[in-house]
Amino acid sequence: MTDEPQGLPRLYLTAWLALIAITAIEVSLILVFHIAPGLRAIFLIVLALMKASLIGAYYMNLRFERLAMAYIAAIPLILLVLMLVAVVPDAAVLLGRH
Amino acid sequence: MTSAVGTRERENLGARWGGGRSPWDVGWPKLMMWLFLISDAMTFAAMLIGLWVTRLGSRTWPNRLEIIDLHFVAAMTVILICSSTTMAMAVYAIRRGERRQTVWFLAATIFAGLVFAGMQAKEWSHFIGEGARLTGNPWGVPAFSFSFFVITGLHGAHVLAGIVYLWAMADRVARGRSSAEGVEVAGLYWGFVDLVWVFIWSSIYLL
Repeated sequence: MTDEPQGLPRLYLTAWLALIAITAIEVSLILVFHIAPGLRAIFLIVLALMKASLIGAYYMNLRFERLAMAYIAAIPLILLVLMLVAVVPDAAVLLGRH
Repeated sequence: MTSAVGTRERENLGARWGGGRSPWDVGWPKLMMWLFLISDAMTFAAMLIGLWVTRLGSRTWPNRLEIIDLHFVAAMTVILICSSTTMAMAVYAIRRGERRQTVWFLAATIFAGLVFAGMQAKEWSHFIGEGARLTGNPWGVPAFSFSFFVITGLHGAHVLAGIVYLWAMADRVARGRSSAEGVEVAGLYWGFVDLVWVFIWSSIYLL
């Protein structure tokens, strides 16, 4: 069974606040701040990964499950990165065209 | 055929795994939902990677801010985040045996899901009204509207299916015919819907 702490609703609320805050930062990066597109892209990707981790850990309970469950979720993500890497030659050709 | 496992070890194995429990000691409903979600994640990932490669291959890409109201979509994102919170609270409630609270939180999640779907429909109709189609759009890059409709459409279908799923769960919980695990598994699906939206929102509207 899962092994959860006592103050769960508090934890959910904190996660909710963090997710809202990160969303606000993301929107600000587009609408308010003027930074280089490449740097902005990196920030946005990092923020997206943070949001995904928060949702997976607290709303999908991975933080409190057996480690095997977290591996089941995480290892395909590594495979996803490999899938991205497999596409790099095509992407490089396309980038090179313009 | 002799087995490498002795008789006593076999009995212990049988005690631990007497049929119906999974090898990782995780209930099979949860494990199966996770496996389904991973496969679904692969589908969305393939679509998003396709979008990224298409964008790399496009000389230009329409300026989203001129076409889409970012505040509107940000509100959609916030609503989905809220629905994930109410879903987590529903799971917490049923774990404590509070059936009434569970149904309330499930209803709140369904409501948020319906609002999200309604807003997505409004966005689609505005987009179509501006001339966006699967085959082309006024902004010069056909792939823009095509990828938009396919990706948000697939996600929207997941939201609608999730609403039906949660509705059925709320009904079962109200009648006392659902286990806590059933609600938890439904919560995993809804969490996945939110999780995928994080990447769709970033890929289509922000990046």
